[in-house]
Amino acid sequence: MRSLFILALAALLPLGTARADSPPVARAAGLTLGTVALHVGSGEHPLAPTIGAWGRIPLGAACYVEPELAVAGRNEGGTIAGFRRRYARAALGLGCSAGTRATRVAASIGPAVSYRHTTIEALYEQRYTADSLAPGLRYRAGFLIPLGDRVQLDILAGGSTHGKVIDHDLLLQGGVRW
Amino acid sequence: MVARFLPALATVLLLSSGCSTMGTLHGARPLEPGEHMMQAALSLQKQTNPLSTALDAPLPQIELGYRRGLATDLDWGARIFLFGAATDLRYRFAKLGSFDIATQPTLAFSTLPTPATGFGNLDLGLPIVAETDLGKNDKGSLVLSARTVGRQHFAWLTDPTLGSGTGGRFELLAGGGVRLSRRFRRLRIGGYADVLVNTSRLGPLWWTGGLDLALVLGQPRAPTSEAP
Repeated sequence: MRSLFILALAALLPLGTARADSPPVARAAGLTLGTVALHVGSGEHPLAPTIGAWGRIPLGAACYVEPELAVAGRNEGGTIAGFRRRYARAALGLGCSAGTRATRVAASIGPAVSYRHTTIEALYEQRYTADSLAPGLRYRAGFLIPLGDRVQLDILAGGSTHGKVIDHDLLLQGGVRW
Repeated sequence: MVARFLPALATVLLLSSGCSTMGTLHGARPLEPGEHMMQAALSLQKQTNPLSTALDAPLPQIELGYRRGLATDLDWGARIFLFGAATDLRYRFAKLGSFDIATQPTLAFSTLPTPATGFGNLDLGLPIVAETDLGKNDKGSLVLSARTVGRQHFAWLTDPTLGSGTGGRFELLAGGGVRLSRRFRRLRIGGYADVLVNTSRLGPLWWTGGLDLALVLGQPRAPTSEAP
């Protein structure tokens, strides 16, 4: 399923279309769907689905500011203990793009703040929780793909820091552009 | 005589498989529409598969590839290797001075299944490649690349005694490489060396070095008035 998702993303790359007089980077906003590799206590990065919202404000012809919100969750169960992880992040990226076709290659970086909540349910009804709120750095790179004058699709891969740990993600952003 | 070494050769090739290749096999100049290319590459890789890790020694890898131009500044490629396959799109998105700059998002899958257990990798590579001409006749070129590779590693076990199960982990690799190539009419010969580090579990550097041979066929179609 994950392979099909990535293949579908890759197939989008040549599809960018826009009028010649259309701005390379336009105002846009929409929803995000993707997968995030959350750093957990063992040092591993299990994958979790993520959803979110995003916006884009052009700065000149090729650059932009991009506010972003995302949430993710993952449950892991076992006979001894179960883990429930919840994750949320807000970020503001400053990005620039380049391209010889309607599809643009883009990269952005900016500040972020993220929140983690972990619940561990162990044998004999033992229950532990931990919360963490930390500033960090958000960075990502990928493709801005206009589909005509009104629809925007982006494929972006990147990560963000939360204290000393790093989470990675691969996102499909869809929305309207104007 | 040759038959004596075939089992040993087959064993080495089998054990050297299971991981996708990460060499800089291409420059930053996509094929034009109407052109297509066949490519063969032979490389040595260290730390990119379990046997190499265990022996702390480089092992061989072989791959065969095909590319074709899709549109101006955009081409598509696919390749097979021991035991896996990869596909990519290459997009030249900028020119900086004498350098062409392209990105080549690549999806690769490799696996080594056996009746009871197996493992595999699903890789999403995002390289940035820069290419410039070398020499006065523009027949040679220098390519520099930087890349990240997101790797989902997975393994499974099916055993009548132990039971069955699956596991996996995500790793992020980062690194770069250099490539030199030269054209002889439709023939292209190249050599490359790449270094990667596994950022998710810091350890020894992974490296790949190899040679490749490519044949470009077809003729570029006349440009159309296609909107960018």
